[in-house]
Amino acid sequence: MRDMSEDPSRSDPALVAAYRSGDEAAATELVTRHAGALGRYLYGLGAYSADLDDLIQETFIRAFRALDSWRGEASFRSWLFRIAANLRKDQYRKEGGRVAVPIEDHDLADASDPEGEAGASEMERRLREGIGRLPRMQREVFLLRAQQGMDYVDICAALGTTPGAARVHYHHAVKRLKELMQ
Amino acid sequence: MTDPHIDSDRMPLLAHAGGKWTPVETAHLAGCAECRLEWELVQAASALGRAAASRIDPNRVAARVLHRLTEAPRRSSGFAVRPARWALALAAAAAIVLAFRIAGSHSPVRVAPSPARPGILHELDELTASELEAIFDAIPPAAANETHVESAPFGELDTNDLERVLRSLEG
Repeated sequence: MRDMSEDPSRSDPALVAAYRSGDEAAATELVTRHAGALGRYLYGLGAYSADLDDLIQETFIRAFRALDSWRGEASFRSWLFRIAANLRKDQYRKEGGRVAVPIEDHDLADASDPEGEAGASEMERRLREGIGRLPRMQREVFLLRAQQGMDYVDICAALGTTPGAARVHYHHAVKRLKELMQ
Repeated sequence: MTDPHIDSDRMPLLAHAGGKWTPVETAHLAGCAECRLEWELVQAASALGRAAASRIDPNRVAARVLHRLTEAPRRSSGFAVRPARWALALAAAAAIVLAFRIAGSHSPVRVAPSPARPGILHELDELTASELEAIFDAIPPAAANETHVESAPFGELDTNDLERVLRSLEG
């Protein structure tokens, strides 16, 4: 998961460098490469299906405007996930204030999202509901590990934690989700 | 069930890399409801959001991102965060701080008009939040003899005083 491309000239760092030199096609390639994973991650964090396009856009806008702060220590994707999680957190606060809103409220199908959450399988619905009840770090570590298949090095880079702490968060998340799903 | 449970860390690897269970693990899974539940959980998580993400058109997203970056590189029409309102408040606060520094007066409500700096608030409005923060950072701490912020904090200014300060900055 460290690099999404086998061709070094098309690796994320190479594309970032190309974009910074004015190559817009490089930006397009970065967006198309990571948009789907970002969308799934944001969905796992409780975003409405109908909001995914906008959230992904905003994530990339923030990322491209702050490329100077990406030094390549973490993978570009894990850096995007970090931005996306912060964005989703901001959106969540705007939606429900600082009082936690159970994620099952988000899962209710409505007219604005006829085929999104309503089409989710029962297992997916319950899983999403369970994930929404986890503490933030457990939720994000679980999604990065189980949904995205990231290794702990990238998870730590995305969340600013240590591998040991990330492992603990993951195991607590699994334990809690198993209890909730039984 | 005496054999140990399957290592939790192996499950995401198998779910994503498409590996295979060892015969021992397979036998364990067949008899351990707890490990089966965890495996179902990880498999469900690895598929979570696929349907929602399949409705995203990455090329359309890329086109919009590039459009926004090229058309308005310094403005954020943020979907989730719209800094305009608090940036305006920040700009007003910055203007007041600047007013105290520029005026160098002994009274914060007797700031002389500064026609040389017309429309400063409008210029500040054009800045992004991070740029405004940078401006704040760049302002050195005021010396005691330059301002009376300490002796007359903003909270002691009434609405008329504040309006006068702002008017003086806008010319």
